[in-house]
Amino acid sequence: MNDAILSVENLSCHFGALIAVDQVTLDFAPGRIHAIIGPNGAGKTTLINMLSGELQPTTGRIRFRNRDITHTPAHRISRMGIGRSFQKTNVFAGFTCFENCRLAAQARHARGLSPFRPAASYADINHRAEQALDSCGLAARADAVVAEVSHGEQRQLEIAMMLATDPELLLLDEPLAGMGPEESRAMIGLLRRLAAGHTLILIEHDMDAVFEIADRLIVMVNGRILETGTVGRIRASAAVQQAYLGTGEDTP
Amino acid sequence: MTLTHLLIQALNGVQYGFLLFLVSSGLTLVFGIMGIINLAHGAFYMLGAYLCWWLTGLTGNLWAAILLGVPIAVLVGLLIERFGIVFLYKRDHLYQVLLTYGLILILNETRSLLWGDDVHAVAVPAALAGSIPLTDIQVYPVYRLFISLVCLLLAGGLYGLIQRTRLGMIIRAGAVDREMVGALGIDIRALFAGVFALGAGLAAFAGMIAAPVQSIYPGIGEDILIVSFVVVVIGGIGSIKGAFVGAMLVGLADTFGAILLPVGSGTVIYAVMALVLLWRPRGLFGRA
Amino acid sequence: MNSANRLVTLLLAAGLAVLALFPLTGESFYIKLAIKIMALGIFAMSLDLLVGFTGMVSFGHAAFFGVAGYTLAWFVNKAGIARLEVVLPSALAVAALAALAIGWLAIRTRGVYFIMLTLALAQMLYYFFKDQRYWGGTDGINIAEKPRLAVGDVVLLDFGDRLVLYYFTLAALVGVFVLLSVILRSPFGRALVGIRENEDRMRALGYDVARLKLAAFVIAGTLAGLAGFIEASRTAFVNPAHLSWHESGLVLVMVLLGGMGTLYGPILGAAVLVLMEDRISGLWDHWLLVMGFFVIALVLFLPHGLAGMIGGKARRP
Repeated sequence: MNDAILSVENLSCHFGALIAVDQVTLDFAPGRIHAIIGPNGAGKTTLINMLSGELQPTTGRIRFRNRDITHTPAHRISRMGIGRSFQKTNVFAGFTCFENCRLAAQARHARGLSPFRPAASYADINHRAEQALDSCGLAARADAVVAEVSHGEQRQLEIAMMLATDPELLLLDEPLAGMGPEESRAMIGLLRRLAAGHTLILIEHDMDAVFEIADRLIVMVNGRILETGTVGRIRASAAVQQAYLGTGEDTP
Repeated sequence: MTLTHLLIQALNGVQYGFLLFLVSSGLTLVFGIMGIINLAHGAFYMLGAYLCWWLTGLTGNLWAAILLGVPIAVLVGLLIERFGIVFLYKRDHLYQVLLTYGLILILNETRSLLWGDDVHAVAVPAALAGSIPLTDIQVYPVYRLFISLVCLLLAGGLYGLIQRTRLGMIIRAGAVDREMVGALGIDIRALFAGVFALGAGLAAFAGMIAAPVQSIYPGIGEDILIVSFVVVVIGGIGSIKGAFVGAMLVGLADTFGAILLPVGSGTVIYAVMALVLLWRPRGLFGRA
Repeated sequence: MNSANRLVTLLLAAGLAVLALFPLTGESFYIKLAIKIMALGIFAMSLDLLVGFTGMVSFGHAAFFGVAGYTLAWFVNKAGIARLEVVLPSALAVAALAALAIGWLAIRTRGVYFIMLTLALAQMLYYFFKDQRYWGGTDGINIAEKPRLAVGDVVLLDFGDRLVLYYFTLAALVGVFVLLSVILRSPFGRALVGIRENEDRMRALGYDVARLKLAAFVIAGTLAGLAGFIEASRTAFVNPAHLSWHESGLVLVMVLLGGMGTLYGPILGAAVLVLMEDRISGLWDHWLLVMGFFVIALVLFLPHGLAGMIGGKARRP
C-alpha cells in the first residue's frame, strides 16, 4: 500500500506473438502531471488503453486508490473517477458542443437515467456541462455543431467532455495532436490549470510542451520503461538521448 | 442406436456440412473482402436447384445440366454484382440489408414467373444410383458419398486457391485491408466482381449437385441462407476456415439433433450458435 | 419552431383528426384497413426506436410481433380465456420475455453479427411455430373468439366490434407515439441517441451501454407485441408468416420509407406500404416483384424517406 493514486505492477499486453507492453511497473503520485513519451509503437497508447479499461491486460495488475481494477470494464472505470481523452478526436459529431458535454455530465447523474423527465430539465447536469465548456474556453461555441468547429476546438471539446464527468485522474492521449502554436499555448495553459486538483497522465510527442509542464517523465521504448524521472534528469540521461531524443530529429 | 445407424447419420451430417460450406464460403468471402452482407445469397442456391431441374428436363442429363448451369449462374452473379451490388460498397449495413432484401423479392418472383411455385425433383443419375452395403441389411446411397467427395475436392481446391496462389493472396489481403490492396494497384473492381461470381458459382453448384437428394421448392434458398448465417456467425465472418469448421459443426449438430430431439430439433443449431457466441462474440475464427 | 417542424405538426394534427373522424363514414373494409395501418404503424415505430434512434439494425423484429399473436391464440383456443385484462398483459409479457432472451444474446454482438443473429433467432421461433402441429403448423391458428373486457355482465370493450377495436388501436397509436416521444427526450433516450452516434465514447464516458441497449430492445419488442396482439385480434388469425423475415424486412422498409429517426415517419411508411399492398396485390399475383424494385429504388433515391422529403429531420443509412 502506498499513496500513489494509480499503480501498475508487471503489466503486459500481448497480441498473439507481439508484445506491445512488457512488464511495466509504475506508480503515479496524485496531483502531478505525468508524461509518457517514447517513439511510435512504444506501447504508450496500449498502456493507456489498459488503464482506462478498453484493453484487457495479459498479465499484471492495475490499482486505483488501492482498488484492483485490472479486469474492471471500461464504463465502470470511468465511473470510478478516471477520465479519458482520445488521440483521434472521438466526440459526437452530429451534436452541439453543449450536448456533447451534457451527455458526458449526464453519465454521472447519481440516480440513474430516467426515461420520463425531459433531459433538458436537469439544471445541475446542464450547469456541469456549461462549467466544463467554460473551463476549456468553449463557452462561446456551446451551440455550435461539432462538425462546424475548428480542429483545435474539437480537441478542447475532448477535454471538456472528460471534465464534465468530474474525474479525479485524467488520461490524455496526445492532447496537443494537430494543433498550431496558438492553440497549443491555450491547451498547455488548460492542462496546467487542471493539474491543480487533478492527476494527469498524458502521452505527448510535443517535447517542448512536455518539458514545460511535466512534473515527471516516463520514457517507453519497445513496450518497456526505459527510464522515469524529472524533466532535468531525463533530458540529461544518455540512454534516453540515444533511444529517443536522439540528435534533435524525431524518430520515425 | 446401432453403430451403423450412427455412421449413416454421421455421413449425412458431413454431406450436409459440405453443402453448407459451399454456400457459406461465398457469403463469408463477400463479406470479408467486399464488406457487404448479401441477404440474397441464398437465391443462387435456389437458382442452381431450379436450373438443374430445368436443364435436366431439357437435356435428360444431370452432368450436362451442371456444366451448362454453373456458367449461367456465374453470369447472373456478375450481372447482379454489376447492376446492384456495386451500389453497396462502403455503405452502411442497413442500406445493404434493405437493398439485398429488395433483391430477394425480385429474384424470388422472377423464379416464380419463369418456373412457377411447384415442388420439383431431379432423378439421381443411373451411374450413381446404387448403394453401398454397410451391413447385411443397411446400405448407404452412392450418390450421397459422391456429393461429399466432390465437395471435398472443391473445398480442397478453394483452400489451394486461397492459400497457395497469388490470387488467393490478394483475396486474403483484401479480407484484411481492402483499401491497401487497392492502393497496391490491384484492380479492385475486377477482384470484387470475381469474388462475388465465385460465391455465386459455389452456391449454385451446391444447389445443383444436391438437387437429386432434396426436393426443389420455392423457399429452398432462404432456408439454406439462414443456416449459412448460423455457420458464418459460428465460424467468424471473413474466414474460410471458420466457414468450414462452422459448416461441419452445424451439419452434424442439425443431423444428430433431429434424432436426439425430434421435438424442437430445428432449434439445436441455434443453441450451438448461442453457446459459441457466449464464448466468442466474433465467432471461432473471426477477427477480434 | 422552424417551418418544416410546423408543417409536420400540422400534418400530424390533421392526420389525427382524420383518423378520429374517419370511422363515421362507416365503410367497413376501410375501417379494417385503417386498423391494420395503425397497428403496423405501432410496429414500425417500435422498430424505429431501435434502428433510427439507437442505431441497432434488427432483422428479427417480427418475432415479437408474431409471438404476441400466438399468445392470444393460445389463451383463447387452448386455455379458453378471452378476457382482455388477461390476454393483453400476457401477450405483452411474452413479447417482452422473448425480447429479453433474444436481446440478451444479441447485444453481445455488433454490426453484421447483430443483424445475422437477430435474423437467425427470429427464424428459430418461426420454425418452432411452423414445425409443430400443436401450434397449427404452416396453416396457423384461427382464433375462436375476440378479446373482451367485461365487469360482471357489463361488456366494456368488445374487440369483436370493429369500431371498438378501431378506437382502441387509435388510442394505442397515439399513446405509443407520446410514450416514445417522452422517452426519447429523457436522459435515457438521449443516451440511446448517443449510443447511435458513438457507442465507444458512451462507454468511455461511463454509460453501461449493454444494459441501455437491452432496455431499448425490450421496450421495442414489447411494443411490437402490442401491434401483433392488435393485428391478431383484428384478423382472428395467426400463422408463422407473422414471424418470418419477410415480415421483419417489410417493417424495416416501412421505417426507411417513412423516414428513420422521426417516429411519425414510420407511421407514414406503414400507411403507404399497406395501401400499396392492398392495391397492387389485387392486380397482380407477382406484386412482390414490384415491391422489390420499389425497395431498391427507395434505398438508392429516397434514403431520408418521406419525412425527409417534406423537410423533417430524418436520418439516412
